[in-house]
Amino acid sequence: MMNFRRKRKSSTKVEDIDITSLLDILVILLVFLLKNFTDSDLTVDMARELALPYATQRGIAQQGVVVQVSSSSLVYYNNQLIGPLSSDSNVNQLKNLLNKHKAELDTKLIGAKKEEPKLINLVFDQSLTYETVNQILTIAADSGFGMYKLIVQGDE
Amino acid sequence: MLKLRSREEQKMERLNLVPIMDAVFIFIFFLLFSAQFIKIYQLETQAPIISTIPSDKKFDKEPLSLKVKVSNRKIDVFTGVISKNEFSLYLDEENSLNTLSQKLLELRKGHPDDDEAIVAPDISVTYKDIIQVIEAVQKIPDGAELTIEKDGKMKSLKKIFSNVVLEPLE
Repeated sequence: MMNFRRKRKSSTKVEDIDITSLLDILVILLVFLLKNFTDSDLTVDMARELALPYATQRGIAQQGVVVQVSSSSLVYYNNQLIGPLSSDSNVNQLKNLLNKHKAELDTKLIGAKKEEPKLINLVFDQSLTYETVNQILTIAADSGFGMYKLIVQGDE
Repeated sequence: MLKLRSREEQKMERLNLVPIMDAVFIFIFFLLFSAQFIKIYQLETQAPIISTIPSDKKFDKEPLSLKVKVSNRKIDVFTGVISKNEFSLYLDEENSLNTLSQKLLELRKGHPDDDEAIVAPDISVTYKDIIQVIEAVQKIPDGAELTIEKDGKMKSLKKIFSNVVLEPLE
């Protein structure tokens, strides 16, 4: 009987798990993530059918209102779909949203007694023509956003 | 007995990796949540502002008033209040954008007070080409330096023209 008990104890003893390989994976993952880390405070959920143009300059993107236009001229305001730019109602909706945002910014700046240029982050598909780009720039300028930040992709 | 003791002393103890694993896991979660796999940057441009200059104001030197017209695969550079064509380039030419930067750098050296350039694309020009031209207008070519004299001090600049204005379509 005693012998039987001893056998059971020895069979349930947990052996040390070898975590060396797991550690290797974690280190590789850590290096990969650290390499991709950017200190930009702007996050953009890229719309479908939107390819950014490349640029070699490294201006860090700043937080602000984001307007995206895809290759099929669909307009997004702060990652929310508004609709095609060809429709007047969508253009008016974009104007209203920008005016509302500008009014909020003005209230904040008056409270803080600051004067800052209103910046707008513009994410355009690289295949769009200047006709479409100009339409958005005009809407932004009319709404009081005088500083355009053209979002580009870093050239590796 | 002596031999046994020395062997025991030589035997290395296993490191406790659990705390470091915890820290690495937290670090990985933080990085995964903040990761953006497309590296995005910005090019700064400004909306055009119309201002009036008093008619009696006299300039020591005529302002540069640089205008870069971009039409279908062609770039025309104009200067002066009464526009004068300085040079033209074709986007399809080899190193055309680098040549543009080099020539603009020379123009800028002659006009240290003028930091503004107007980019005027044609209606059919693609956004990709506009970005390339804006970058060529701003970026100092590799190996070159831009130093200007301002208020009696020499100043090294990071961009050829830092204020780029996109001209609206008529």
